[in-house]
Amino acid sequence: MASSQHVLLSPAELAYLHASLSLAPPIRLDGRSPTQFRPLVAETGILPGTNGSARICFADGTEAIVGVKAEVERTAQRPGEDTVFFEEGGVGTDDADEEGETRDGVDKRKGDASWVEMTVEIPGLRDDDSGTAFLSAMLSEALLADGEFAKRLWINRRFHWKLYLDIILISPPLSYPLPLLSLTSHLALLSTRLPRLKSEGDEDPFFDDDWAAAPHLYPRTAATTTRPPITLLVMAVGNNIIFDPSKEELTVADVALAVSVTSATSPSTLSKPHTTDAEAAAAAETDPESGRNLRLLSIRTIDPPSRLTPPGVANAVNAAYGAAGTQKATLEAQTAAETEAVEGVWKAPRGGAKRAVLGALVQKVLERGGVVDEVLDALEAVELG
Amino acid sequence: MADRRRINGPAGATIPPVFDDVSTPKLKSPKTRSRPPNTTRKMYLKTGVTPSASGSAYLEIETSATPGVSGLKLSCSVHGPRSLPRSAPFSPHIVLSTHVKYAPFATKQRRGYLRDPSERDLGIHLEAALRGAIIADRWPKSGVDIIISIVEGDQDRETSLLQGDEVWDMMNALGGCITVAAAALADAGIDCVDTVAGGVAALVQDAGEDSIPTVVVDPIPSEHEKILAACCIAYLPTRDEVTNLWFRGDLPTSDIDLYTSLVEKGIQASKNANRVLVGCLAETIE
Amino acid sequence: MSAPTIKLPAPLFARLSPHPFLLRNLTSAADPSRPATRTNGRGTQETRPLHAKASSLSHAHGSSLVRLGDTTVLCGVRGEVLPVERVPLFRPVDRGGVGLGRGELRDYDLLVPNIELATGSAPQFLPGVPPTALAQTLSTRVYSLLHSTGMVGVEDLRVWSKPAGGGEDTEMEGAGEGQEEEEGVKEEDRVVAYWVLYIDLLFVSFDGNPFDAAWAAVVAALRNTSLPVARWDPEREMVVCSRTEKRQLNVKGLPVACTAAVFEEKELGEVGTGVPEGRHWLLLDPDRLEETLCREAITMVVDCSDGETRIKSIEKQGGTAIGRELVRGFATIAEKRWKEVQGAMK
Repeated sequence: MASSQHVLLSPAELAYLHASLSLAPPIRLDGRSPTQFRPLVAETGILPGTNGSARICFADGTEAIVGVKAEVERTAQRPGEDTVFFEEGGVGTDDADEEGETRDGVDKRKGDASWVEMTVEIPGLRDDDSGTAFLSAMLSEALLADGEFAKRLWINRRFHWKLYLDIILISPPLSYPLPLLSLTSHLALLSTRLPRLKSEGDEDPFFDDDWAAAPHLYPRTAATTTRPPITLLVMAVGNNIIFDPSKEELTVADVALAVSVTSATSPSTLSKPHTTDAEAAAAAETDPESGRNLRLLSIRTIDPPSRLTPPGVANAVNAAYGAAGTQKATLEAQTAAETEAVEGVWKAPRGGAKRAVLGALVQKVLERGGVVDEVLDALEAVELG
Repeated sequence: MADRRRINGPAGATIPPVFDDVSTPKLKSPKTRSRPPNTTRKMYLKTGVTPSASGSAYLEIETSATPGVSGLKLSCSVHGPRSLPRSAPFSPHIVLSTHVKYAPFATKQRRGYLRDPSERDLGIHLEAALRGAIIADRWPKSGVDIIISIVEGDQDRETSLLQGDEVWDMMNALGGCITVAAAALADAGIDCVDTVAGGVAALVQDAGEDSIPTVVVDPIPSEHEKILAACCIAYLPTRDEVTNLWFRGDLPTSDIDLYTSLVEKGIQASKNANRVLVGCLAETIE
Repeated sequence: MSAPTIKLPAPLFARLSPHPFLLRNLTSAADPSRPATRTNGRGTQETRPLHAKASSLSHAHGSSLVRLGDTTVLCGVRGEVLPVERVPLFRPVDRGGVGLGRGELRDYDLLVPNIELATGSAPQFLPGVPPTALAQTLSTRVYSLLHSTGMVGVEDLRVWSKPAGGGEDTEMEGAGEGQEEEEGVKEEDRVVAYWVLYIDLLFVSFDGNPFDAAWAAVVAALRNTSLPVARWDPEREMVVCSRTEKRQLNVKGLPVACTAAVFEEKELGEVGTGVPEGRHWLLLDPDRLEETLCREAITMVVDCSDGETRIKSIEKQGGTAIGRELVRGFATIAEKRWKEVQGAMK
């Protein structure tokens, strides 16, 4: 997969990198602070033939383009609440009316995960490659996790928008492309506009052909702060938590996590009720400065490529450095080399991540006024084309 | 284009049976959970089902008390460690390849023979979970194949409405895959730092939209009205480490405790699975 | 000076030189009168016991699990509906007329068997590759045997526009309703759809003789299959199924496959054409090791369910050892096998 591409670093280099990233504060190769992102260039509306598009170029040269296309599609009808779903086609729609009526009054906007189709293309990887499938699953998971997104595509009871999200990495994957792809899709979705509906009720929909009147998929008014999700890559080395790791940094990670968060409208206006009293209270005291109500959508561990790195050999057991002691001594030293860490000698990490480390990583991401807010602010500032 | 190497059946597409619920009385609304929130379902684990493989295991998670709910049935075989093909580049570690496939008859809808993205996704999760457990540097230049067939998915046959359940089903399947693969790896005699096992926990809302959500272990989606979030954890008990974490749902970030308790319950479920795993392996040794 | 002797443990010997290993097992220099024993401890005419368990899966309409020694197969039968408008070149059928019988089954492709070996069932069957030649051959053999034995009648797979009027059908429940809906419209009774049976076989473990095991699994699963009662809903113009009512599939006969491989004394590659040289053994129900060493195999499918032995198919591949006499004798062996399998299927 993409994260486990071999990085040509020697064990000594890996050990050095690991040591410098474990310092307090960590010293990164490019001099960034632990929470700092790589500089990036972003623009939207680059593809006139799409409903929304964006391009982001990272300073290291990785570049991605996302295009969003929407089509009107007939919604597959379900004869009854408890009926098995079936494929579209071969299905009568006559009973749709009386069936739909019963659900009126409640939230009749319904969404379905199949209304969004996402493809990810990474140069040099087959499109049925597991790594691509993983990236695509991760991105669409974040988009659909709260079930709110698909509802935006609802037109009426008989039709919906089918959204095609094509994510293309146009440079070779110089670093793990997840954050880049996620930020680019975020921007593309922000800039996405769907034609204004002119028809009413459940009739066949027709639309206003004035593009200027087309509303945004994510309306940008003061009242709503709902935004598409973003997925951040965060890793831990020793006790340090490092955001947006470069390829080299990722190779010495102890743990790497992909965390997806979104900013939703404050819970009171959401159809979702307060889940707990604690949350309601927390929502009330949402940071007035950011005004955002962040929600956690998904977390996945990324298999850190560090597990695939070649191990170093300590001088004590290296015959080239005169470690040709008695056989027994060598054996002991070898056992020690396999089980204990020797300072300055690189060893691929074994086992998993401590619970506390994982907890700290997630907490750091979700911190109010932290990195997520910073990133969202920065993306907000991108002018929509 | 149809795959000419298989028998494809009629040219026109066939439709899975559509059930008539107008004339038959309405089915009961979602069943309620039959177990206390902290109890996992019973599972049955057996190693050595495929004698010609280096290691193999079969896992069955008990059908819950309500009839019609099928249990999860998984069969795993491990082939290797064996030498990599000559064309493969040098690897200082064992090269893991994981393969998860649903049988065509495992779920409500018939599955094809080619792996779909969700099956590939499961494969990657499994790889991440196992990679942490295996002591990979003891087998340079070799590879091992871990193949799991999901013979029966954890899906309710009766509730037919798609409630977006597949995602949660996938988590349950992944939990089982991790446990059964760990058993098969042990059966194959591949060194691991510890036995890894999978556990699932979910935050569910059982009584209407406004009720207070609770955290349960080993959830069955059809037994709950709404699942707000769930996580699947691969956990090494003696080292107290997590090798794979997959969380999905919608949680307010202001309440990190909710997330933490979900993870704790996931670990608890994983510990339960591990007890069965260790018991099964101990039995084999005797 | 005698040559140094090396003592090899049996499994290692089997791996290094399988042919002499099997040969040494079958012949005994010390005691030529000893009956030939195979490497797996069986006699040449001895089969592995067959275990069949029906209905092990809940999502399929019919299923079975068959174990033949270390060969384990799972079979699931699932019915899906094929409306006639999707059938190219559809020939209408009326109820009174003589059914087109197997013609429909074959022409509309209503039986779809597929065999998956690539589940890691043996070291040579790893997933991620297209179906091997063996898997394709097995699927095709099961496919043609399904059609040639006529086990499944097309009558069971037809869905009529009106519920059956006869007494033999269980569709009667829906009859009252159906008549109400048809008021005024005098529609002709016609076939509106067919059930298509997807028969999927998954090898969990592979240790030789895949065809016998797969076929037994197919038969067991079909005998276990119950399709939901389907009726035509003229309002929605689609086929709907009853959730509660089911109808057992009517399976005719119990054909049983019996396979034997021929092991020749001369090792592979050196046997010329013409009369077989040296001795040969007929190994019934060969395992994985034996299959790799044999170039000739015979499969006979027999059905003795109506008291008389009927040979449904004979297939023989390769080699020259099996002559007329052997084939005749083999029918008796297959008969014996039929009785064993019949016992297991009950």
